[in-house]
This record gives sequence, C-alpha cells and structure tokens, in this order.
Amino acid sequence: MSSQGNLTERVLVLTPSGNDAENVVQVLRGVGITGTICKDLAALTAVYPAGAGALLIAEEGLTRDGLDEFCQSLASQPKWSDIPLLIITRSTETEEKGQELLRYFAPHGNVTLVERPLRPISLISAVQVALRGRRKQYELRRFVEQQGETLRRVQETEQRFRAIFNQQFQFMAILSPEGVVMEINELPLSATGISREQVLGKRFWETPFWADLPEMQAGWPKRLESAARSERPVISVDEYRSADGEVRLTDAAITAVRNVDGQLRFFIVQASDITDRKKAEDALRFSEEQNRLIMENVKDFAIFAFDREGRITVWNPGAEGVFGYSSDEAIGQKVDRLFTAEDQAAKAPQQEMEKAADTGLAPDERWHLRKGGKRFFASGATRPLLDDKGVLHGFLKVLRDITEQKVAQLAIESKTRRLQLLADVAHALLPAESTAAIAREIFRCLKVELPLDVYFNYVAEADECLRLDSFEGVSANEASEVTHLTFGERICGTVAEQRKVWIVNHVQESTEPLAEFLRTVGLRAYVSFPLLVEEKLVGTLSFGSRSEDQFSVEDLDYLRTICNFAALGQERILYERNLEETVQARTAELQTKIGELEAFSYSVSHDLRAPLRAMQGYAQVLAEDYAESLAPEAREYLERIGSSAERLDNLVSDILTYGRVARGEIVKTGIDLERLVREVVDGYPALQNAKIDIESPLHRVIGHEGSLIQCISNLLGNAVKFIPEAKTPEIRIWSEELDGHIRINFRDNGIGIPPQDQERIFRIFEKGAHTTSSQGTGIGLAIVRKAVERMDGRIGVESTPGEGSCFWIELARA
Amino acid sequence: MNTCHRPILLVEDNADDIFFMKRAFRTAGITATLEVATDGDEAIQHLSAPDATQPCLVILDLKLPKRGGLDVLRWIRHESNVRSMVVIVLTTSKETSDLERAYELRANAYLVKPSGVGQLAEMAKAIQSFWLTHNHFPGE
Repeated sequence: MSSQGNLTERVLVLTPSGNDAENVVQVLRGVGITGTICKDLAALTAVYPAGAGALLIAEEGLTRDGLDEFCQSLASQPKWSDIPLLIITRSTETEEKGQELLRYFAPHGNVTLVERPLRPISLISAVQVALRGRRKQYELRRFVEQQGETLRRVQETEQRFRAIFNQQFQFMAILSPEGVVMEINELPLSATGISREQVLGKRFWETPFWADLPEMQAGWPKRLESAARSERPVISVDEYRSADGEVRLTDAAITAVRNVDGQLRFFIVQASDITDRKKAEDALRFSEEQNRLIMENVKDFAIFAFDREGRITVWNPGAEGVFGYSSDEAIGQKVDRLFTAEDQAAKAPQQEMEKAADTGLAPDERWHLRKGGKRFFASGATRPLLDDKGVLHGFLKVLRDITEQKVAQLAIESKTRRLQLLADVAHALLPAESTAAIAREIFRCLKVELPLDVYFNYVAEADECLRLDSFEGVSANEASEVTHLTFGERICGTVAEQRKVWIVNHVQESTEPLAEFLRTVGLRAYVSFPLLVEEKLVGTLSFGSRSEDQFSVEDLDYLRTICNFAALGQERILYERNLEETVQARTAELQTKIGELEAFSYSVSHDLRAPLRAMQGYAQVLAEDYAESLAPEAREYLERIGSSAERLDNLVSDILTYGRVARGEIVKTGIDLERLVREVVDGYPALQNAKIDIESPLHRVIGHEGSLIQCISNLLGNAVKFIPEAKTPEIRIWSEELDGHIRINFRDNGIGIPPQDQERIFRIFEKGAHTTSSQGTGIGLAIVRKAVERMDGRIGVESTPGEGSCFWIELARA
Repeated sequence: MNTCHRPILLVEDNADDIFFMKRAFRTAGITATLEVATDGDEAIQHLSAPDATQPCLVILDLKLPKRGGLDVLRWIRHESNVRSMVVIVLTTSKETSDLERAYELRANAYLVKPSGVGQLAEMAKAIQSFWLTHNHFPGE
C-alpha cells in the first residue's frame, strides 16, 4: 500500500516545454509533492493506470495525437475514481476557450483550470486541493472495498450455511414467531416426499407433515409457545409419516432465537430420525433389561465379575444367595475369600484367572466358602471380560452350589469305600492274633474314612472290670488315668454296665461331668460302643474326634457295624486265648500229675522192690543158713517164695521200663542196625543157646539207640522164651527196604500166635492165650510197640501157630 | 591185712538191707566195725564227731529220709575235715542222672545193690579185697 500511497501522492506532469515542466516539479517538490514528468500524452496514458494522485497537464500538451486514447483511459477509471485533472492554460484570457476545455474534459474527470502565468502558490494550492480530493477517493475506495469483502464473506457464509442447512442429516426448519415456515432443508422433504412449496409460508402444524397426525397438529402451537418462553431448546419426540407411509420417530429441539433486545425473531426446529436409534436403543435396553433380569432372577447361579486384581465388581442376587454376602459386602472385596484356605494357599484363584485369560474358559469344580466359613461344593466357570479391542478388563464367573449332588456322590463313593473297608476289616479280623491288633487295624482303616483321632478299646475282665487293652491318639500319660475301670465308672464303664451306646457331641461345650476327661484330651465329639456278642459283653470300643463336633448318623451306623465286627473278632481271640490258657493250665496240671505219677511209680518200684528183694534175701538166707534144719518140703516152699518174688520184680521192672520208653526223651540218629543187633545177641545170656542167623548187611536206620536195643532184646527174648520145650530156638534176622522205610524182620520157630491174638499182644498187660504167668509179664511187646511208635515207626507180626512168628519193625532209612 | 582199723559207716534206712549187708560183710570176713546211720542227718552227725572215731569208709545209700544221699555226699565234699573221705554209693537206682551226679560229687565208687544174697556176698568180698586190703586211706 505504501507504494500505492506514494503513487496517490504522485502528480503526473505533462508539459511540452522543458523549463516550465521542471519549474513545476521544482515548485511542488518545495512543498513535499513528487512530480513525475511525462513527455507526451502517450507516456501519460501509459503511466497513469499504475495510479496517480493528480494529472497536471499543460494546455499545449493536449495534442490531437493521443488525445482519444487518453480520454478513453480516463473514461475507464473505476467507479470510485475521479482523478483530478489540472490543466494549465492561457484560455482564461478568453472565457470561451476555457469553457471549451471544461466541456471537453468534464465527462472524463474532475477538471481544474490553472491559469498562466503560473504563480507557485496557486499551483501548490490547486495541487493540494486535488490531492486531498484524490486521497478521499482512495479512502472511499478502500472503504468500499472493505465493505465488499464483508459482503462477500456474508455471502459465503450464507452459501455455506445453506449448503449445511440443506445437507444436514437433521431435519431443520426456521419458523417465524408465528410459526410460519421460512426455511426448511432438504432432508425432511426427501424423507416425506413433500415439496418445499407445500411447506414454505405455511404454519408449521398445517403443513402436510402432520396431515393425518392430529395430535402432532394440536401439539405444535403449545410447544412453540413454551419454546418462546424458554431460554433453552424445548425437546420432544415426534412422529411423522415417511414417504413410504411408515410412521417414524424424531427427537425435535425447538430453539427460540431472539435479537439483542430479547425480541423473538424466529424458531429453529431441529429434528433427527431416531426410529432406528430408538429401535437399537430399545433392543439394547431390552437386552440390558434381559441381562438384568437374568442377573437378578437367577437365584441358583452366582454370577459375579471381578477385575484383573480379583476385586469383585458385579455381584448378583444369586451370588448373595450362594455365598451369603450381600452385594455391598462383596463388591470391592477380593475373590480369594470365596476360596478355601487350601485353595488360596495353592493359588487357585490366580490360576483360574490365568487359565480364563489364556484359554477363554476356566472350568471350576471345587469347594468354596460361604460367609461364615461353611463349605459348599460349586461347579462353574470363569470367563475373561474383554473390551472391543480385546483388552482384558476382568472376569465373569458363574457358579452353582452342587453340594447336594456332590455330597450324594461323595456319599455313594464313601459308601462304596466303607463297604470295601468293612470287607477289609472283616478280612483282617480273621488272622488277627490279639484284641489290640484288631482295634488298631480297625482304627487304621476307619481313620481314612471318618474324622477320628482317638480310640479306646477296653476288654471286659472278671468282677465287672474293664482293662484298657489298646488306644491311640492320647499320650500314655493321659491314658494312665483310665487304664482300669469298674462297671459304671466314667463313660466306658457306664456303657459296659448299661450295654448302651453313649454319644457326647460338642464335648468342649458339654456340661456332662463324665466328659471332663474327653475335654482335657481335646476331643470335640466322642462315642462309646459296647462290644456285645449275643448277650456277652466283650468290652467297649470308643472313638473321638478333634475336628468335628458331632458324628453323622451315617458315621454312627457305620461305626456300630464295625464295632459288631470288632466284638466278634475280639470275642474269638478272647475265646481262643481262654482256650489256650485252659489248655496250657491243663497241660501244666497234667505234666505235674505225670511228674507225680513218675515219682510215684519210681517210689513204688523202689518201695515194692525193696521188700521183694528182702523176701528173696530172707528166703535165701533161710535156705542157706538153716538148710539142715529144714524139711525138703520147707526148702521147696522157700524156692517158690523166691521165684514169686522174682516174677514180681520182673513185672515192676517192666512197668518201669515201659514208663521210661513211653515218656523218656527220644533223640533220633542214624544207627548201624547190624552192630546193634550183634551187640544184643552177644550180650544177652538167654540167647546163647539159640541158633541166630543174621543176614548181613542190615540197613542203617534212624532211631533212638536205647529204645531200639529195648525192642531188639525184647523181641529176641520172646523168640527164645515162647518155644516148645524140645525145640532149639532158631531166629532169622534180616532187613529190607519198603517204600523208603526199612523193615527189620525177626522170624522165629516158636509156638506162634493165633490170629485173634495178633493185635492184642501189643497192648499192655495182654498176653497170648497160651502164655503162662512165669513166661511173661504182658508188658514186653507193649514196650516194643511204644518204643517203635516213639521213633515214628511201625510194628507188626505175621504168625502161624505151631510154626513160628515173624515180628517186624519199620523205621526210617538212615 | 586190714588197712583200716577204724569202723565202716553204712548209711542205710532199710532194716532189711542193713541185715543183709551185715551178713554179707560177715560172710566176706570183714572184721571192721560196721556202724549204721539210718538217715542223712544222722550220717552227718556221725561224721561231725572227733577225728579219732571217724570211719575210714562210708557206704552211702541215695534214697534216705530227711537228707538224701547226694546231699550227704555234697556235705562231705564241702566239709574240710572229711572232704577226702572214701565214699561208696550203694543204691538200687540205675538212673544215669543219679550215677553222673554221684561221680560229679566225687563218689569213689557207684555200686548197684545186687538182687540176690549171694551176689551181695560177692560184692562184700570185692569191697574187702579192694578197699580194705589194697587200698590206702587218707590219714592212715
């Protein structure tokens, strides 16, 4: 603008004569005005459009040549421009000439005539006036230009507004204070198929928008009224009919627009079709309502949500019911408290969250804790809560209390286990060797299944006493207080006396005086059973729990069954022990008696033999010392006394031998049978006259040497004893192997034994029918049989009366 | 020839046996005095008497009233005055246990009473020959 400013101050000077022109410029410069010299009209015409404050033209410069172009240039000035045209003339000398100049240039510019001769002051004042006017023109021009800019902007805004107004996705209308439609945009028209002409200039409620919606028609005036009174938009939901006849919904805002004085200018009605949004909202609301209803009415399911730290954020009434915590109590708390201490320690809550986050689902079957600590078994699942972008915000957990099912299932499992256990217990009872073993085994099995910590097993003893047979779960020191009870003393004694079960629940709170001991050993529940087999009291078996305050009915039934088993088992052991004790006592008694009998028989033998020998002695003394004074008859009697005494002595001696063979200690060894037989044959005087044939070699046998010598000597003794008088005894001895045993045969040529006697002769004091008292005591073969039996052998005889006998002995082979 | 000038002590409770022993000793020609104790206590009492009257030989039955023969023998072996006394056990017992215990208690001989008068006389002669003719007693 500064260059333009300068230009507006610039005076273009056209004077043909150089001096004059220079004078003019010089004069103007003197007052601060720049003068630019143009040498002719063409130059002036060329420079002038760039802008000038005034044109100073000497008359003589106005040549024909270029004048038209110059005038044309002047004529094409902008409307605002009326460039000052100062013409230096002498024409004032003739008025006519001056008039002509003015007429010529007046249509083209603001002409001022400056007379020659030039007076500097006139020139200066004329130029200053011209420039002043010119300056005003420029100012005006600038003003006008500015106004134009403003207008242009208004127009642009108007266009933009209209564009926006028409392209709005909202319905828009401008109503006059009277409700007449002044403007309306395209959208409502295209939506309804109504033309602008049907609407503009009409009262809004009378437009076809509401043609068959009388409520709307009636409502509009009131709503405009209330909008007119309100500083704020008045909102309403309206219906309208769409082009396809559907009644749709809009939400409308009516805004009253006032001028600065507060006077109502117009209303702006804006409305959006909210039919779809409403539908979506309704659907959403319905869905939310549905969810809310589900959340609130699902009582059997606990539904709750928690954030990533496990803090509860949502808690439905089902959760209140299942867990017992109210919503207020639960929200903000950590989910951990819903888990059992074991699961908390095992980090189950964290694992569940991790699993849900990783896999999208964490199934959950576990024991949970209710408010107050009671356990219940729940089945459910945890799912992650993700936002649109898949970011984890928390978790939703749904679970259900299936304690009843679980308990039923556990009960079935427990029943199965218990049946198995019962079978095990029954099985264990049979081989058990003591009452304590039974009780311990039972307790070991029961502990697995039942909350038992302690047992006491009393065994009933004589005089209505109980003895603590075994126990577990209390120290020996504690038990020392109750090792012996009389019937009626303490709980177990009372149970034994009354033969009734005694149950003490809530021991620690119990006021039962007899439960004092139970309290001191820390029990909470206790039950004592009498152990009965039919009517007989075997003892008592009691169980205590430190973890439970009472036993369930099932547990008690089960324990009762087990106790019946225990009673049977212990009764058996006690019976066996009694039996054993009785047998031992009887055996000891018998042994004492046997010992007494042995002593008796020993003393009998001694006492019997002493007088016998005395009898023999005196008979001999009498025969020797008084032979001459005795009659022959008397001497014969003395001999008879002697031989009788000898027989009696033999008898006693054999009885003693039998006793020794029957009861003496037997140690079996390998025996050289042949050597033994030869020793007996050589050493037995009675055999010296016999013909004895030993078939070598004899087998070695297993036996007791002393007993075997007794057998051989008795058998050989019999062989030479029982023989017809005229015969010489002939004995054949041989051995043979039969079924792994060695049979030793002794065949003689004696009188033989009739078949009916062959069995009898082996019994003590039994003799063959033809055996005289002088020949035998009837004990010899009994001794042999007893000796053979004690060596685990057999004895037998084959005999033909009149021809001889063959006795045999079978012994184990060495 | 009799090496012993002191009496012989017969410890025997049976009067018949005492009779037969005395007869057998006579038959065998034994001149030594035969003193008799009829139970264990009496035998010990007898042996507790002063040295001069001590027997040179004790013939000891095992089955005795009050104190048995083995107890008497044990007493003799523990009593310093008589511990080297010659003791011949004469008994009806053939029990091995009796025999072993008698020798354990250092009996000088173990003789089983013979059943006949004749055998008894033979035995008395053997005693006369061995113990009273050839044997030397301590303290003689």
